[in-house]
Amino acid sequence: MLSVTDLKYEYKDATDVYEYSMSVKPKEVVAILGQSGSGKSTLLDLIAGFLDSSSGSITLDETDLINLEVEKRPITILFQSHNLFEHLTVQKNILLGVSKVLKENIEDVNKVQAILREVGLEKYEHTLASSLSGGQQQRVALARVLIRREPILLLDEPFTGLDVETKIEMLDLVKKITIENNLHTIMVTHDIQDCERIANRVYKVQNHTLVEQ
Amino acid sequence: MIKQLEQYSLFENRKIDSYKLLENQGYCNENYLLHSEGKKYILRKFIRTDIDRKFEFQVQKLAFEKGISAEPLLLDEENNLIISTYLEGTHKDTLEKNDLDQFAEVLKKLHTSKIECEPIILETLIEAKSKEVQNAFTTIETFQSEAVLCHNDLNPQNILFAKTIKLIDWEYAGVNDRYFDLASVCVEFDLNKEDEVHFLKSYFTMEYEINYEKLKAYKVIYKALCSQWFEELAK
Repeated sequence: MLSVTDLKYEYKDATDVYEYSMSVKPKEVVAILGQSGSGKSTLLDLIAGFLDSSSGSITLDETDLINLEVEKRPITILFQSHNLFEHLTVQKNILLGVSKVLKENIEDVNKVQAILREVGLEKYEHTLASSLSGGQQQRVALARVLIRREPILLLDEPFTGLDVETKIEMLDLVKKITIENNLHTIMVTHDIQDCERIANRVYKVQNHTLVEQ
Repeated sequence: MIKQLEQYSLFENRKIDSYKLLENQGYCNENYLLHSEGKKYILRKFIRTDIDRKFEFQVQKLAFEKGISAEPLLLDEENNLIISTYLEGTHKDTLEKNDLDQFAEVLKKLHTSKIECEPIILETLIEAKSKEVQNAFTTIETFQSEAVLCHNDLNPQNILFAKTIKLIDWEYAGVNDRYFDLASVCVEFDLNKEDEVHFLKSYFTMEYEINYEKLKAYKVIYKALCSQWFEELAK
């Protein structure tokens, strides 16, 4: 289980203090709901190690994550902007999930093919990212995250700007992938409908504190 | 001067209506605004002659093709000038989150441009290295180099905000570690930690690429280069 306990973050010279406590079980999607600027993304940045907390703990089962550097944390993040390289093929974009120098090996290429099947894009392995629809590009971004096979998946309002149908499709895919891969998924959103569709539990940021709904 | 400019094929059968020195000037060039039959151009007359202007022109052309620069139209090395299309826009001293997102996109476009050129060796550019600067160079040596085409002079006066963000003044462009450009944005716009995180998350593809130690070291180096440059200018 992923546990965040009494985690405090002092924002901008301690003028605001945020406090977070929450937990996520394997196969669970937990949604963090709140308005823009409420501190939802800050929680993800703390779990990822981009920001330093002033006190509290983050553990995955028995492992303390607080003292691990960003690249050593068992985490992948689907960023708000999917950041695909449009001049590269789907396969190469996904391979960037494991290596930024794009050294291909058979093992990694096989992994890409397996993941493309998971996200329903097996026919597009050698297609340029620029030729894909918005929804397909999001699937590639998700596939790139999945190839790392890390147990914690963080989603920071990942499907903003997609049409309703594609968004529902992506949310369902996140749910499926979370269950099939035993992931601990945290999804930050401002949309209650996203929560209702896939979240096992929902926390809301209220007055700089997380409250379970 | 107008007569001389009208000799260029760029202005063939066209009249140059006006030619005036711009209020905002750089340190490497004198900048003039040209009007010709409803079109505006910027003419940059070189003050510094130790810069490879062919390379600058080539980089600016590449950046224009990526949609992040004005179009360079003419290079006359003999007469020490470059003419480009004139871009309207404003400069900003502070950046909001959506500016940072757009800026990250601009840098990604630049940093994925292909060019043949030897990388810049920053260590040779700083004459007197403080302990902090020496430590910064030691730190970056421990990480893999991420050499790409960089602008290398991302101060607010070289960034134009209009419908999209465009970069100007490409004199110092060259192959450098991408963290140099990223660090210079963090320093020039005095980003706080939260904004730095936002900017890096917009720029990078995967979280494992974000390296704060490297960013911190490049910020120290960038500040040292700026101090040295301002000292030289004061002399």
